[in-house]
Amino acid sequence: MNNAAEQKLVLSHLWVAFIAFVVACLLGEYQVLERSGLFPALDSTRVYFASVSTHGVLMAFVLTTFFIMGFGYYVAVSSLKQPLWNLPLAWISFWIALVGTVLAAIPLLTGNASVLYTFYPPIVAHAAFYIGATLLVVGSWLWCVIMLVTFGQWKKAHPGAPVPLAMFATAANALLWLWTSAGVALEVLFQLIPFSLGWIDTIDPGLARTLFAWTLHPIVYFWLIPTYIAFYVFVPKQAGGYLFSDEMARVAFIVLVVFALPIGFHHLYMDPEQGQGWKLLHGIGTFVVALPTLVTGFTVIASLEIAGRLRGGKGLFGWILALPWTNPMVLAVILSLLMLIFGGFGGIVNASYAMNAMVHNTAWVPGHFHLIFGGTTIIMYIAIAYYLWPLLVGKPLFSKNLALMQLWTWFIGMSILTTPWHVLGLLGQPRRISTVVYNNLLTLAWQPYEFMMILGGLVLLGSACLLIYILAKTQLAPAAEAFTGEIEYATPIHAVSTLPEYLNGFKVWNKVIAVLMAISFGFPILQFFFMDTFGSSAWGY
Amino acid sequence: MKRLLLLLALSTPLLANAQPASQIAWTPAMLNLVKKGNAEKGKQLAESCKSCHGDQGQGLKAETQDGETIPAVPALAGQLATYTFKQLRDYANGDRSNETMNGIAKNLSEQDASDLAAWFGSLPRTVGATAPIKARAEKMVALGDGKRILPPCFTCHGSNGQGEKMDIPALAGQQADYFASTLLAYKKAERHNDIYSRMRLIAQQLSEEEIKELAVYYQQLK
Repeated sequence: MNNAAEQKLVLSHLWVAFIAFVVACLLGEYQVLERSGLFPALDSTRVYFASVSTHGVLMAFVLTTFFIMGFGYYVAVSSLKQPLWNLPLAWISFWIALVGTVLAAIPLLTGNASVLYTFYPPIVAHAAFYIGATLLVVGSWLWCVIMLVTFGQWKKAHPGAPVPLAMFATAANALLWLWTSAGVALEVLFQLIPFSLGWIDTIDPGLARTLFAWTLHPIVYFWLIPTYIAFYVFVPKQAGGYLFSDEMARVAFIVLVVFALPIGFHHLYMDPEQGQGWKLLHGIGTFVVALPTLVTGFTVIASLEIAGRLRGGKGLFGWILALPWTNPMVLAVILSLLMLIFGGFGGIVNASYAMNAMVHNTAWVPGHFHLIFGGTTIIMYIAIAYYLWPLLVGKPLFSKNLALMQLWTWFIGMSILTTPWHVLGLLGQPRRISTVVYNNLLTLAWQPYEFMMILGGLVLLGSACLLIYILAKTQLAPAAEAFTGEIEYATPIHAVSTLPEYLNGFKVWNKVIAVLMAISFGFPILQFFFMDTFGSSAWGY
Repeated sequence: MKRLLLLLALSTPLLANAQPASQIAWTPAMLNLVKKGNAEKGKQLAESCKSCHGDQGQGLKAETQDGETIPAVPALAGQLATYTFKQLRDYANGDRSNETMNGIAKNLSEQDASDLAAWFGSLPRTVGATAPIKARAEKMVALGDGKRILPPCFTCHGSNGQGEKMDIPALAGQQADYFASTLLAYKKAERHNDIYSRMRLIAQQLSEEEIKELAVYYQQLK
């Protein structure tokens, strides 16, 4: 991609994402320090919950949305080899999302939106928080439109030709996000904004939680898809090999998009407002969505094995050592998969009703989502940034060794942070607490783990700062020579010349999603309008 | 005879639950009534409150005159409107007892109570006289006492003693004498308009000394 205007667009998105990221890391370290209770000077419930809310929103909504938008624009232009459809609209989308972020940040930082990053009434934030979050989502919807129009235009201009895998997956993510965000959009527009502005006196928390569950699970796949895109389209080439199967990758993305949506009730296993039958249905769906992850794990490892053997690796495991571990993308995928194995295991625990009952609302849950999101997902965002930055700024990466060190420290820090976090959950520490004040033997037993978490957080904060340093240096430092590399998408072992329409588009899948969503959420939502339920008044935080 | 005894035994819970702690339920209608309280009207009504509750709703400390103790009067400035409203209605309904206040509250309509609550809620809180704060009180506020299953005060009353929805009172700047006598009244169950005995259960666990220390702590909180 040589178009300066589009490069600027992508860089702007990625910078917003990574600045949000480093600020959130700083807040994260404060939180582990405060929660440990080892530093009385830091103790403040009010500051803690303002911080944890800001941290969650920055990481889960700002970092992800801006990164996905920026990365999507880059993939669209570079894989389809055509200019972006409607660049001005892309800038409008960027500014709407940024204004929304700033608007939401004001109540967050002043302690008027300390509701965590989940939208669970009757706890209610200042209206500006919800309006800001809505603008961020509206900005991302414009991105979805741009992606899907670009996708459609290319298909029209190339009838019968397979859409490049990277763009296929990006369009899948745009479709997924439109479906995903509809749940929370309904909750915010019809419940939270009117409630926070005082237009309605009460709110139905059951309906709100059901609508949020609609969004809460697929949103993690929205975050995860760029990681999988990197797995499939960058990693095999960077490792010196080929993609094991292009078709299998498409199947994985389709199953991911279709089954990520109708399964949100595993977040509501312990809630009273939904019946056991619906929970069982969603529970089964949750296990189905583990399939594309298994397929991805298989395909990526197979691709890596091809690369390792092409590089001369022999024996059952010798190919692993033969991989180019000093390539940031390859190192990142190895570390990402390691974290995926443990995080995925934790996810199966969460999805299983009986085991979920034991870890529900304990520290296990944030431990799990930090490992799988902060670990598996974000380490690939970072690797993508290292890969794209030289292409975007036209200068070589400032230091490959520093980048490798940064990826290792991110992995080590995340392991030190999340392992004790899981253990704390098993020891019964509740989540969403700011202090531990019960002073008995059980809580004393938590302290060594709290201390480990401080250390893990510190390593992660250092690693995040190093990332920003490397990216800034790459962009700002005078380069001795211009970087002339081109983006390289992996080629499959067996080139794909034709594909059935169901592996090259989403029309049929969109209908399948509509049917599945109607089955999974139709009655569970409508019941709130049939039943004589009583709304709740707002309560404080 | 056996049947009669059985009937009496089974009827005991009825006696125990004969009267709720308070008649005030936070329905949307009730909350809206408080929300729409007219502070200007409340200001006019509050003219007659000044003699006891002070010009600025700052309350009075306990005094001894001619060998007789005049009890402390609570600070109302900056109090949650919902809390003030509930107390006025509880006095009117007889769920809270105070000779003077029962009589006054009975002559106030619900709207009057709402207006007064709005007016006192709009006044700035005053910070009381300084006395040394005991570390034990600070610990109770921030950490509670696990051994006695006492939660930290701040979990309900807020980290700055600002009170919380719906009717958990603000304690910051409260008259220490009044604070202490109120907790003692809860301790002895002389006051009982706390829903679910929330404060009674806590106050029973506190020593008189601890209550006095907490009173000093909260009076000085801004």
